[in-house]
Amino acid sequence: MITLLLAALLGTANASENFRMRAPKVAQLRGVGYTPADVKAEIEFGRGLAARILNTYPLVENPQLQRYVATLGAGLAAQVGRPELTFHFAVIDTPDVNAYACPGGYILLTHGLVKLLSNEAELVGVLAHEIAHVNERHVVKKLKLKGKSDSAVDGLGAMIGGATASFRVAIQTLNAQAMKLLFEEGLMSSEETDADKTAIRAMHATGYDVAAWNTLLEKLRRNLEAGQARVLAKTHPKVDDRVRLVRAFMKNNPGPAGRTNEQRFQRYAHP
Amino acid sequence: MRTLKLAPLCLLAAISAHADMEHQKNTLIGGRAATMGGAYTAISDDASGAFHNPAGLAWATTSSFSGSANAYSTSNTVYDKAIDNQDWRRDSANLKPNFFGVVQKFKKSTFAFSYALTDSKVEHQDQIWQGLTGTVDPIDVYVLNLHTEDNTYLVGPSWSTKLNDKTSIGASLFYHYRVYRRAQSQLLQYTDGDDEASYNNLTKKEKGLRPKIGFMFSPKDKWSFGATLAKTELVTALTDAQENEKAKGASVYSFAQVKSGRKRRTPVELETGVAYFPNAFMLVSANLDYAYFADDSTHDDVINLSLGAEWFLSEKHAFRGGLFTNRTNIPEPTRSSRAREHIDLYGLTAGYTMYSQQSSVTFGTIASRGEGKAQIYTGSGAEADVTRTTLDFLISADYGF
Repeated sequence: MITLLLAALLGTANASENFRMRAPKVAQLRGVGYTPADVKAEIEFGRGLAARILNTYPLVENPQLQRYVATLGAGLAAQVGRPELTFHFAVIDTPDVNAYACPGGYILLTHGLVKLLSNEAELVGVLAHEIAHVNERHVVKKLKLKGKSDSAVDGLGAMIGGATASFRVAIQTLNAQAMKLLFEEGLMSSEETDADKTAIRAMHATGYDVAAWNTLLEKLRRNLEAGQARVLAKTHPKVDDRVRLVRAFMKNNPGPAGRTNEQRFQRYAHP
Repeated sequence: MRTLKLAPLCLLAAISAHADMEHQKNTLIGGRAATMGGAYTAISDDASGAFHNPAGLAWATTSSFSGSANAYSTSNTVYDKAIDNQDWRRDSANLKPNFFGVVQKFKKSTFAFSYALTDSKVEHQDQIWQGLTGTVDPIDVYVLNLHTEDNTYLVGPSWSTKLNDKTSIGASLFYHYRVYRRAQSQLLQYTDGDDEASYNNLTKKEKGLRPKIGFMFSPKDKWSFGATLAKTELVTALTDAQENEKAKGASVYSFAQVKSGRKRRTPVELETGVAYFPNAFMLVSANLDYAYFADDSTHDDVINLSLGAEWFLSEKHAFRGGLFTNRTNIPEPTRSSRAREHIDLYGLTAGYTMYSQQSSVTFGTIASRGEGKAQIYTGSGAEADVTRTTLDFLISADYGF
């Protein structure tokens, strides 16, 4: 036994836990790693969260801008978004510079951020960045949000297993936690970096100028230096690191500069 | 089979609890573990792992869940031709919520809190024998009323962590509480007109701690090895016995009371297990358990073996089966020994589990049977052949949230 113990302690790590996983779990994780019930819960939760945000910050009363952002976002989501979700995009009336990716595909951009943008490529970058957060279920994972099945086995399991009402009450409090996450704490730095990578790839794939993302980052840097966008400063990676990421991508993917659609953007966003 | 000559008040002191401390595996904990014959030391990746091997908790795939089990347990012991030429049967039937556990996974550690009723029997008997002519003094009527309850509870926290992708360790610390109560009355009316009677009442209460440490190791893909070490340390053990007795020929009752704080010996328990996971649909496991009684002539060291198998018909339906031994730690009776009951039990288990997205529900059955010898007569080394049969039905659930 001592030999076995020593061998175990000194042994090099080599992933060996997957073999323990039984068929139901394997099936559950096959493919996307979440179930239809999880998606349903995510959508319902995200819709509630978006409503709560809109209760604090109403929509910008500019139908032309809203339609433009929604159309552009829907087109982008059709290409890079999760197919089981219907994405919704809107601009909320606050001077803060930020964007919020609520679970289920509810994406809200602040008016402050839109004002900071100069062209459509930058807007596409922002939208793709937020879509990436939804795709990767960053908020969902952080809150450990799971769907509730209606099956008889689950009902029986809950009854015998002693699942209590207090648990369901706990789920309700996740809404408040999500608000705190989006408005105060932010996501993990690595998650922001991953979203940046997705945004750059999406811009490139849809023919937009990837360099526009750097231009936006520089503007964000000035905002940060001016003491604005506090949450962004606290929760996102350093601008220098983000800029380096873009440059590396451009170096590895040389080619003609993409479009920016600046005129169209100015017509709708800054009439 | 020989017929034993019954002496007056012959069935008094030697009657033991049916839920006995003489076997180590009287109740199999947890739906999955129980239906695999208890061969779970190398698996233990659900709430019942707190009891089988706390190191297994680190491998629980669900971040948090609860599990519970309820069992209907029956036991039947027959002492062959123990009363004159007639058998003496002792039956127990008990519905028990015998396990509940919650597992919470954190980044590096997994914690659990669990409760188990590890041993439980409720026995009630009202028996009358008539016309016992083969006894020392012929008896017209022999009335025996017996009620015993014996419950052992464990409750406490567990912790587990992975040392690397192959190895985990864990520990549980349970509060042990056992309460045993027996009320027994006997009345004998002899053919010669004399009579004899006794009433006795016995209560035992034990409190203590049961630490258990565990280790789990996967030296190569698809193989898992586990080992645990545990010992119940009794802090207090109080026995209160009262007896009223009127002997044959006597005209008055005598009364006696005995109080004692003597603690029973508890073994060091080493459990080892191996499991082979050929794929996500199959699993076979085995356990070799050893109970060691140091310097204790009244107990034998015990080795028990368990074998288990699991087969998923599909992602939603699983079948399990197992074999196990539950050998006694009481030595075989000898001429000079008294009040010994030596029965080795051998059992089999079967179970079916339905899975859904969040939970699973298990139905199972556990049966065991054994034969042996028992000294059931006060002050006598005479033996009776004894057969014990147990049958449990269980329903359990794991609920993920």
